[in-house]
Amino acid sequence: MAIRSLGTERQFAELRELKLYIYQLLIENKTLWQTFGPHSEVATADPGSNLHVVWTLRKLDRVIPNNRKIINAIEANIHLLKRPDLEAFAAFKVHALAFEANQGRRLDSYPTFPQRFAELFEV
Amino acid sequence: MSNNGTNDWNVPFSDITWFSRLLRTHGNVTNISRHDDIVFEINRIKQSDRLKVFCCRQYSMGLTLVHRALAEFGSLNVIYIGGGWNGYTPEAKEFCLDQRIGLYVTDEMSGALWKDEYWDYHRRDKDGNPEYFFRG
Repeated sequence: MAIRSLGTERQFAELRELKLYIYQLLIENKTLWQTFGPHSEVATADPGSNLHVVWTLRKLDRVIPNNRKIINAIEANIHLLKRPDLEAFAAFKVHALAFEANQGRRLDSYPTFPQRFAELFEV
Repeated sequence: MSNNGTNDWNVPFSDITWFSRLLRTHGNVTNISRHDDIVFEINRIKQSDRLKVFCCRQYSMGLTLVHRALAEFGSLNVIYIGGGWNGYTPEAKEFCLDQRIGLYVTDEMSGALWKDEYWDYHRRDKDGNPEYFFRG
């Protein structure tokens, strides 16, 4: 299955089930970011470290596919969301797509992860 | 003249000392001095030249930030932007190549200090093509 369509087939009966699915993916991405990302302990302490190679790999094989799963699963179940969830999701989608674009060609800046989205989808 | 101790680029002292150590242990570098907290002046042994090197930590070094560095510190020979998590935009790199300014992350820095054309160092991929830190 292409990355773009990951999660499109998922149907949830209740908002809580959808949020649990989303939250699991968010937790994995957050853990990878904290462990290997540009603000990780190693990145901060050692500008000579080559751990950035692992971060590059995990972005491509886990973080970006997880973001796609989140976007597609929510869009496939959008009728379950109320207005605050919809607004937070829109901000997440803007972030996720810009983050993805940044992998191919570095951008001056892009919208960072919206914390409000994590708060609303915490279960 | 030194004005060391603080800087407006949020470069932590640990990064400055790390970069200072890279310069001090490099086989082609001697006579190092530092001013404005994050600007180094170095002599190169093989080329018998003197370079002005700006040290920062910038996740994405774009054209606007390159212009800011030049406006604040005058002409620069090299702009170092930190570890391999960081990178530069294609526009910033192109500008720096045109201006003969080296724009580098850690992985490129040591090789650039050996090269006569210090602004034009790059690593190569397995097919021999130039490899730049354009990816996010």
